[in-house]
Amino acid sequence: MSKLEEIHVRIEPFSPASQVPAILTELQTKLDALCKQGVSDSIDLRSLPMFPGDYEQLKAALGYGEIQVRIDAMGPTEIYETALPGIWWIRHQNSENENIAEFIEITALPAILKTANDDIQQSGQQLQRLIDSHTRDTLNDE
Amino acid sequence: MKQNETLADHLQRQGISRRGFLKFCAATASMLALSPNMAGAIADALGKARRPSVIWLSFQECTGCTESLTRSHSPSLESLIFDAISLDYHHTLQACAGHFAEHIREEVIQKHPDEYLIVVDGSIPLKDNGVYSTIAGMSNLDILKETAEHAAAIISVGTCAAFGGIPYANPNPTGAASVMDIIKDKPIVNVPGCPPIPIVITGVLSHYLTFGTLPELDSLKRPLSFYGETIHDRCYRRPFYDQGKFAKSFDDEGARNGWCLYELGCKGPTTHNACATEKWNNGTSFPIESGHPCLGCSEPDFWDAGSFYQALSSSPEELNSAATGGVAAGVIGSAALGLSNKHKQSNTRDKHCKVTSSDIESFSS
Repeated sequence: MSKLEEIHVRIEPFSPASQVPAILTELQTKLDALCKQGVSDSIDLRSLPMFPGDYEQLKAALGYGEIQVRIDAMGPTEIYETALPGIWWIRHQNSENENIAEFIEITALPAILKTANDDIQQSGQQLQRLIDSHTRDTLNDE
Repeated sequence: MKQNETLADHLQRQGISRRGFLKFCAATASMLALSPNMAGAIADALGKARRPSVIWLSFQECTGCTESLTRSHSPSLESLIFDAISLDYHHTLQACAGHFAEHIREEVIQKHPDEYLIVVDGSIPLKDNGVYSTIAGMSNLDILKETAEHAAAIISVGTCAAFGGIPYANPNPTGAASVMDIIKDKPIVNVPGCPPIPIVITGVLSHYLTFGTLPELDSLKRPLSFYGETIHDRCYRRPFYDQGKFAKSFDDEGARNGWCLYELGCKGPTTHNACATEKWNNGTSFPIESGHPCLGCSEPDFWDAGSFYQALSSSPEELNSAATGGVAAGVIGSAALGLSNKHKQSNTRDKHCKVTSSDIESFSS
């Protein structure tokens, strides 16, 4: 047995100290702000003092929606839209698959998914180099 | 990383993408207790940051603080931040020794006056002209004073450097003192803990890199983002405390149900630290989660504040009302609670009682 996840822990179905109802209420307030004022927001899950089992219960309560994305940048990042559109679950891990940050984002699209302008420009230059190299190869063949 | 390179250039050269960098910044925002929405602003600032020189001075210490920092897995936030500074002098980590090592320290002082940072771990012995700890023929006191003279700021890492720690404990045979007892004219940040959480050490460094300033501090010079609240305030067992449900021994029903450890000596109500949220061993857990009371290692005089297994001298209700008053009255209230806690600690110290193995066994009987 090499990893903590391999030790099976029984999660109590309900704890009198559960923070889940409070988090759901906070999500409702933030979703309302997104809807009416277009303001995106997020909740940093690491900063919340959650009781063992709260995390699993929150995840189960929000469920899974239509979109699931995986980013490979300095380790995996898993993003999915929950069953409640506009509420995204984002988990950043390092290359050893350890969590380094975890958020719930209340937004139309998480910022990390958008391609940055600088990257688009670099992409254009890279494409030009590819075209030049192909043109050279074709000329040489002739 | 090259001396004049920015962090963004350095990461790009290492093949780290913009998304990777943004992810790193989101984690940094989380670490600094800033809004996750600040990730973009942090990316802008950190991308332009240039690496400062850092001199790490180890005095009367056990190397636990360095162990805490270097045991983090890689690549982690900690390793990335350490890539972003130029760690020019560190006894445990540097390859060179003797005159060469000391020459590097002198060179940093000459080449980067008022720009370099000092990190200190360990307390400084003052008794008998500081003869109890010397390096390269110089007392710790002389090295600290000489290095601090042209430093931009000092970060005291660990309870020994911040408050004297274990060397300072009664009867303090070496006359150990903290950095802030000696250096009065430089900005000092205390990062106490025995050892401190690694991410708290790098959090202060990343704040300096990101904003070019030191973080906001409490009355004991600790960064508020990590030490602004007590372990008790952020403890997941807090609801049990509020409900009056306490474990009375280490193997009773309360202990098995994960109830509050206050009556088993938990110092969480008077201890300011981030263990309850940042946790240990790469975010696995913290002592209370493993069923052990908090020892209060990030507070001054923790070693002399009575048995680790004796409940705090105030009743939960008294502490609760003092804490509520503190919240209501803001910073002044918190300071008053801090003073009151200090007073209680000092009372307990006067009645200093040692714990024996049979005392500990009695909790499990």
